[in-house]
Amino acid sequence: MNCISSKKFVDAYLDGELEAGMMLEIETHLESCEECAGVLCLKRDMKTELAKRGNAAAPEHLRRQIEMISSGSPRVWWQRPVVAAPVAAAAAFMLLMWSHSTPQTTLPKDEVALLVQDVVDRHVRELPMEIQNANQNTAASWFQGKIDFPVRPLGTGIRNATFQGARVSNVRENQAAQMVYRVDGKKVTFMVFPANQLAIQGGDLLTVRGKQILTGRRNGYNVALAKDGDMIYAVSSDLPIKRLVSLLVNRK
Amino acid sequence: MEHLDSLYASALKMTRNQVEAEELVQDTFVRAFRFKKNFEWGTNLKAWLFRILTNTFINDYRHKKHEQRYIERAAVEPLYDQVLNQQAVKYASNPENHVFSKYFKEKLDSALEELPDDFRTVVVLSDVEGFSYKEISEILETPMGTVMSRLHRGRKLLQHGLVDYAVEAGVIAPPSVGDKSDEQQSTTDLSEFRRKREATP
Repeated sequence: MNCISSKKFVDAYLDGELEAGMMLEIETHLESCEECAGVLCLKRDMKTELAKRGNAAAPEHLRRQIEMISSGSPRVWWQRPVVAAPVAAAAAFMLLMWSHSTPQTTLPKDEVALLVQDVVDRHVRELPMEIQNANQNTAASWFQGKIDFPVRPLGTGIRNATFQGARVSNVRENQAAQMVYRVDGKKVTFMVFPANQLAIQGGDLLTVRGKQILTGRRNGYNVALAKDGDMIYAVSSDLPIKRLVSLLVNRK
Repeated sequence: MEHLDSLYASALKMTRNQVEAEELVQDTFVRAFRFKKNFEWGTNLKAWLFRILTNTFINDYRHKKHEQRYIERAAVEPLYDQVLNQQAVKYASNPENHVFSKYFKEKLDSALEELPDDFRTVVVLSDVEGFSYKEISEILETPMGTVMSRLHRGRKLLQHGLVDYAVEAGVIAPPSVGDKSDEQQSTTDLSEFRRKREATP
């Protein structure tokens, strides 16, 4: 074997893909060729280092979500008194307090930005819908057994709105129901996720027909959030913010 | 669940984004449970899950338009052996020279992230996950020759990136024209090599 063949098959040699005869040939060459032995050394180092990259552990919240998917009977992890989920819920609270002149909490604003970013990310991504060609009430029923809270869709009180599909998603560390609509010809992503023990405080929040709503903007997309009972409802789109607010207000 | 960490680690390398990696793994498990009747018990579960992961990534996650241009460029640009120029090889293979090795390790993640998706996926499946060529061929539903070719080229691009970093940092000198012994036109098709060798008296 010469240097050209050696360099060509040194990868297969390192990967253990050569049969015994060729392995012997390449090893014989490597013993007598300093340059090819150097190439082997460098490639082996790289392969060893790359193998260490496989040690990343999956985050605990992802593990829980996969456990829920695999068990088919979701656990009530988001309702437990001491869980990581309240961090996201607290972030939601911060967002709801965004326009308050005197913030009541020390939660970093980064958390708020991350929550808005998460909602916008889910809107922007063209991920496949798990249920399509169904009406929104059928889709809401489809979530039963897949996520651990009841899902209510936007409803039929919205003008120029058609339901497109739904999928299980997440917002920060909370499981979420994601429903996609087309409203006034534009895509609108509607997310529902648990608010846990949060309560909306009064103050400077935008109040429309008795509902308190906060708005945000990220990457050119508008977001509106409202809390209703134990749930937070969020909509994201490039529709005007006024229209997004009307979607939440007119939600049945 | 036993393969969750591996799937997540590879998803991170494929998507280069933690949020997308988590979604990709979730989608993989949703599909795996939806199509679990398609899995043949007794066969390689990890390879089956990785097939779903890579298919989902290819179909739904990678940014196709930009990626296609990148792939086309990477496929035609000549990759000379200057990638492993003699100076770099000599430097790295000398046990007293730890600087390049240290540098090399620190920059490996960046160099891997810069690889086009098709090449990075094969390198991750082989070097990070340890799948054989045959398994990668089955996971990607791609001929074994293509797997070997992408792996060979992916590793070369990776080494190219590492040498560039080392040159920029002044750890080694830029490769000279004399280092450029072009071998990029030669294939890494093992069976073709065997056929040629057997034909030689």
